[in-house]
Amino acid sequence: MIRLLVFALGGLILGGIIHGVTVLGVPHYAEADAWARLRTFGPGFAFNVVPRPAPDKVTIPLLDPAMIEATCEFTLNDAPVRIAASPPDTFWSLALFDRQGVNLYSMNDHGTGAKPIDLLVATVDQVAQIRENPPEDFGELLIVDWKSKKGFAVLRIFAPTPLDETEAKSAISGAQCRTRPIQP
Amino acid sequence: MQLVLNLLVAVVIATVTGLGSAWLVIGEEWLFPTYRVGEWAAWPEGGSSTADPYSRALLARTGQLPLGSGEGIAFFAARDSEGRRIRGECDYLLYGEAPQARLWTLGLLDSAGNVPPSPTGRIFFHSREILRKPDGRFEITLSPNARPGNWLPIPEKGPLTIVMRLYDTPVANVTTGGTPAMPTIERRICR
Repeated sequence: MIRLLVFALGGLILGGIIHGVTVLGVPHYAEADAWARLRTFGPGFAFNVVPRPAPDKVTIPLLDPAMIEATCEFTLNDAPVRIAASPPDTFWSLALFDRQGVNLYSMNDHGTGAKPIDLLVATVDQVAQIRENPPEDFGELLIVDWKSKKGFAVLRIFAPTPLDETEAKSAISGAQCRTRPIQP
Repeated sequence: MQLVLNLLVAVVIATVTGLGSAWLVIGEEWLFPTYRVGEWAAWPEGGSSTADPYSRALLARTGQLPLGSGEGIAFFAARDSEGRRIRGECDYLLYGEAPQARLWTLGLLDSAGNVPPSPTGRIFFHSREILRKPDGRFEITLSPNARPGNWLPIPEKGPLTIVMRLYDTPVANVTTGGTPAMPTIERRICR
């Protein structure tokens, strides 16, 4: 009987380990994570409009139906990525997520002082290269340090009416999310 | 024989407790709201780099894109001011004031997390269109039937969750945001 209890206790401890491994493993094995879903909206290195949430139409869960949202997946293997956009004069926000879908950087239209969005996402090594020999046109850029090689940007523009939606979509189609070599 | 049985017991306990508990905590919903204001709950850590492993697992499973602290914060309410589940079978009056924010929107989710259909096409209210009282407070009536003033249509039945998203708000910073004044959700007549 005592022996059975010992085995049961061992089972509980093993259960705890399985619990931990499962929870930590889910982000690596999840098939319907944001990264996978965003691929269905269009190619990487470009802002793609996410279909607006509406009755009977789900694309990404829990999006605000009052916003037009666009996403851009990027990798920093070869060079930094420059994200530039001129959203309409209304509320907008920009967020950068890592490959696992964790929101690491975010800003809104007040943060830029009514200037257009212009930022450079770069790895630590790339930032070091830029600091060593800064290209002339990098002076105005906001540089965001990126710990990994992959990520995605989400641009949300407040668009409650169809007219706002048209303006938001036109700003999105003009938005940039491209590899920007350090030495042109 | 005894050893095999004992081992079997251990393995069954390990599998059931390990996988079962993991499945329970990373289901469809956030389990541990860190920010509660009355009937409203928010999960600001879902949108931050300090997300715990459970939040990360849930993010990966559901694929949502949570608001970062520089964007805003989303508050969810599944129950009324007296703790009863919000349902389409009843009318609700949402009244009071909104926390300090440059913009807020108020919408609905059904039990599956989707935007429920609306007979009039209105699926949200926002702070720049809402009719207010002279003191700045507002009232929104949630009902399947037409109501005067700010009327947000809801389905005739089924559980509902009210979502209030605050954009560009000090409330998004949990450590300094203090306790925001969220509107009260009062149940009115039921059918």
